[in-house]
Amino acid sequence: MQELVKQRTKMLETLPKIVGPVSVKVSDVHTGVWRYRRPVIRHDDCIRCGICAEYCPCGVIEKAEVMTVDYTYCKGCGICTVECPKKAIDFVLESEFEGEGDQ
Amino acid sequence: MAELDLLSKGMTTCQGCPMELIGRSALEVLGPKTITMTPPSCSAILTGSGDETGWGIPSVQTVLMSLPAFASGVSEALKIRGMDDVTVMGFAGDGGTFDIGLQSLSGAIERGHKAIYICYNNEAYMNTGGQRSSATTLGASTKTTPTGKKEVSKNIDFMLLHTPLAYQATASVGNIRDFKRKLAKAATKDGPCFIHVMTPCPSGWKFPADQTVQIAKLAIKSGMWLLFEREDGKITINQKPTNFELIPEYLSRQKRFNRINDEITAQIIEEAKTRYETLQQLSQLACL
Ligand SMILES: Cc1ncc(C[n+]2csc(CCOP(=O)(O)OP(=O)(O)O)c2C)c(N)n1
Ligand code: SF4
Ligand code: SF4
Ligand code: SF4
Ligand SMILES: [Mg+2]
Repeated sequence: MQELVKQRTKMLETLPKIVGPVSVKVSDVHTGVWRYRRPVIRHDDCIRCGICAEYCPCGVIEKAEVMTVDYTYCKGCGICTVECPKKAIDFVLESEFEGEGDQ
Repeated sequence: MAELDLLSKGMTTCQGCPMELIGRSALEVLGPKTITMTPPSCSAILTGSGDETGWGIPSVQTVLMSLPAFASGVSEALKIRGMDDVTVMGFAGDGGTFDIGLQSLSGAIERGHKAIYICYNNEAYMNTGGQRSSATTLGASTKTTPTGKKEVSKNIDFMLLHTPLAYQATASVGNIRDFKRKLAKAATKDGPCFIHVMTPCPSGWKFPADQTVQIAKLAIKSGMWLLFEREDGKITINQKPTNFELIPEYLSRQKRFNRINDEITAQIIEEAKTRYETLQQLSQLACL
């Protein structure tokens, strides 16, 4: 019990300092199930400029070692595929998609 | 532990929603020391209902008439507590800004409270089904103007030129870096700031969801949307329109303009040219 309290306190300390009351129940719908096409980044052509992440309305593209898409939430709007200056993102029909990934 | 999103993923806005993009980009600039508020509108999706919210910062759902009054109150409370490093961000649509919330906005600006007011303009009351607002472009079909709007839109930017704003700017989802730069500037001001953002809405304007940013870029190029800012009594034009002859293309890429004829197209082009000429002349003055 003592250990759990310590652990939780530590977790709270890592949060950014919040300036007032904030709800702790966060809206979180798995909007990835809306998608009928999926953006697939061709990492060989990607120059990691970050433009796709900048324009993704859902905030699901992250600049890590390679650019990654969080398919649990990606709605498949296609904005990233249009804005990529290298045209390095394929927009694949979910029904024809073969490979790893949830949903 | 996963990094905390200042705006949660999994919001139920439409595919390709520009309003969500603005909300996210805004918090990237302003950071966790921000308090936000939204009126009834699509942005209320972000604030959520009941005890659930998408914001990782304190947020308030206001009434449609008086978001700026809420912002004024929060701003003054923060001042009394000496919390001057916290930003108050109002986040309202065109209906809540041009129409129903206008008198409240006018009052808040005149009283001079420190707050940033972002108006995302999707040119209609989208949340209630896409009825016209005074921001809707001439000729556009909406729920309440099925044959095309007969009136030209209200120019809220020009209206606000004569109010004591500490900073005023227009921005667009077509140039998100410019928006972020302007917001960062607004955050340094000790008074009321207004940023008016062009927000092409795929659901209401009827274009494919992947075109949101492209439509916004075309609006800037064609002179349908002007990028400028006003501070210290002077207007700076950030980007000149490339070619007004691109306006018919801008219109034809949105199904809401399906019913316009050549005469209305000519009127829209004429209006855009006049607007830009007026802005150029205003930018010569040093008294605004
Ligand atoms: C006083 C009042 N009148 C009408 C409404 C109904 N209403 C809720 S949202 C909305 C539309 C708001 O439009 P806008 O501000 O443009 O935001 P959008 O939905 O387009 O994001 C209206 C009319 C209300 N909530 N309060
Ligand atoms: S926009 Fe294209 S090139 Fe740039 S990081 Fe994204 S996928 Fe890579
Ligand atoms: S398809 Fe849309 S939601 Fe998915 S990653 Fe691209 S821009 Fe983001
Ligand atoms: S109607 Fe338009 S502004 Fe509203 S959530 Fe949908 S895309 Fe966004
Ligand atoms: Mg609106």
